[in-house]
Amino acid sequence: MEYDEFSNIYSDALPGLVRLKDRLDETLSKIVEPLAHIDRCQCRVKGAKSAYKKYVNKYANHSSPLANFEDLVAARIIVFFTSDIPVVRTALLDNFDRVERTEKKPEFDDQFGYESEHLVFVVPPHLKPDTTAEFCPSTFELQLRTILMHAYAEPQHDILYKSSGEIPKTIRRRLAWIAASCWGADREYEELRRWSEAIGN
Amino acid sequence: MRLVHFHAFAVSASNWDEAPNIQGGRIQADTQIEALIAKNVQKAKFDNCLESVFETDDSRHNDMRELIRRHAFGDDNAADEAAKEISERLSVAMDNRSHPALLLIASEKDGPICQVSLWTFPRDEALRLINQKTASLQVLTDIFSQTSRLRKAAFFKGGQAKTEFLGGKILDLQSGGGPKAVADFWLADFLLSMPAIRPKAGTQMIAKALIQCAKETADLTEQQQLQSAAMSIRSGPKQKWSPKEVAENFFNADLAARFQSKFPNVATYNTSIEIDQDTYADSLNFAVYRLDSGVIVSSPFSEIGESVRITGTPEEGNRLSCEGRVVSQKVRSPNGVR
Repeated sequence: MEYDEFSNIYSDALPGLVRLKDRLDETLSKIVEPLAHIDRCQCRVKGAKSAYKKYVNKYANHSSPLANFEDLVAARIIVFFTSDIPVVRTALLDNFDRVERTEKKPEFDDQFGYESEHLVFVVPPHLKPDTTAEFCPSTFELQLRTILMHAYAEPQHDILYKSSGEIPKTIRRRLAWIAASCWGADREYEELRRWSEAIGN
Repeated sequence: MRLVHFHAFAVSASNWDEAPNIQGGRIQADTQIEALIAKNVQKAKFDNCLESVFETDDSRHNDMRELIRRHAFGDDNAADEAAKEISERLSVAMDNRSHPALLLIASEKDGPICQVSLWTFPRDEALRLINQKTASLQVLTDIFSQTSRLRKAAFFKGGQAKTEFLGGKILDLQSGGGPKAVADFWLADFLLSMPAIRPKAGTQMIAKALIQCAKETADLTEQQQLQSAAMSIRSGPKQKWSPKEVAENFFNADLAARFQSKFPNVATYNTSIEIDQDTYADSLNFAVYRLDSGVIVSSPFSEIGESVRITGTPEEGNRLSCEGRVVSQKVRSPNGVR
């Protein structure tokens, strides 16, 4: 399928996606409101070009072009400390049915790179539209990570997304150093949080 | 939709350590069978039924989801094996309180989309009048009732994408109305599923709708209806309530309409919600107080902190004060009989 055809299909789906994003924004804000150490909670709708790139790479054989996407509407919750991640996860599981959970991290123990928790949830009935005429995906993705995991992930994605071809070894090594620094800083902050709690802060 | 696989099994309860008590297999589809399925699907009104999701592990796996998909999209052999395993699972999920039943599994296809419906019809007894030379009655014991309130059904529809067949629609008229172990055997033990609205989220929605309605009405009758609903949800034997059931059981038509408007859509309004009592108490802030003098004070939730005030600490003993104009009065005997 060429981009123009895909884009037309996507345009038809877009109003439904935007409305789902708005409802999800509101619901997630209420869920995290009583929780401590939330840096931000935001939702987004996937752009048509980004969706097409994914479609071509992964889903082109499927007869229904949008059926396999789970991140057409996606959310991200950024927390201060690593120990906040299970707290937020529990609050989310109180409200949504999880179909998949992946801890993204480097394959080997001596590697440093992208780290994040990815959850796929079923869109519950109360977030669905009142009419079947409006497009609504059956699932949404939520990424859950610390500020420092995010500090590595976002610039790294920007740099690698815009580059073409093989990434030079020195660049990969420098990125790994940034990832390692963020990993270490996360542990330091966790220790400091425990110290802060111990002295009654 | 074209019927591609259809299986029927007579199923009775069996223990996990004995051979599943099932008899049956593939049934050749004909127009009568197709009409039977169409009639039952139409009668079930699945759009108004409980929305469910399969309880998956971290990697989206659920045994029943796989079996149902295999019945829908597999060839004859795969569908036969899936149907047999589904019937065996039903036999194990049933206990001695479950009635022997007829299990029907139907997969229908239209292009890349399949719909699978599962039915159990409980065994019944019927009488046949044989009127030849002399009239006599014959007792039929090998029949199954399509109209029993004990019948159950599940309906799944979708394609083969990973985002599809994650949940379905459930017809279970016993659900939430009795002991949890019996009520949940169809949804939880057999289908390995749960309601699509989580108990905490659903309970908050119901509590919030009750509070909003209470704040919007000054009518004493409606306030009493809201209080009755709030108290029944809190202390009654029923564990699951759909907002629609709350409205139908307690509210007049006007209040029911306002209550329904607090929910985002019809599916939510119709969905049965397992009440999380802790969340309910936290959300509703509604209480009936018994004082040391024997006085019982029942307060609308919107008035707590307003005309009904609680002061002091639990250690010292809370004190209640209430002030307002008396607009009606009822006399009751000590046991509550008027």
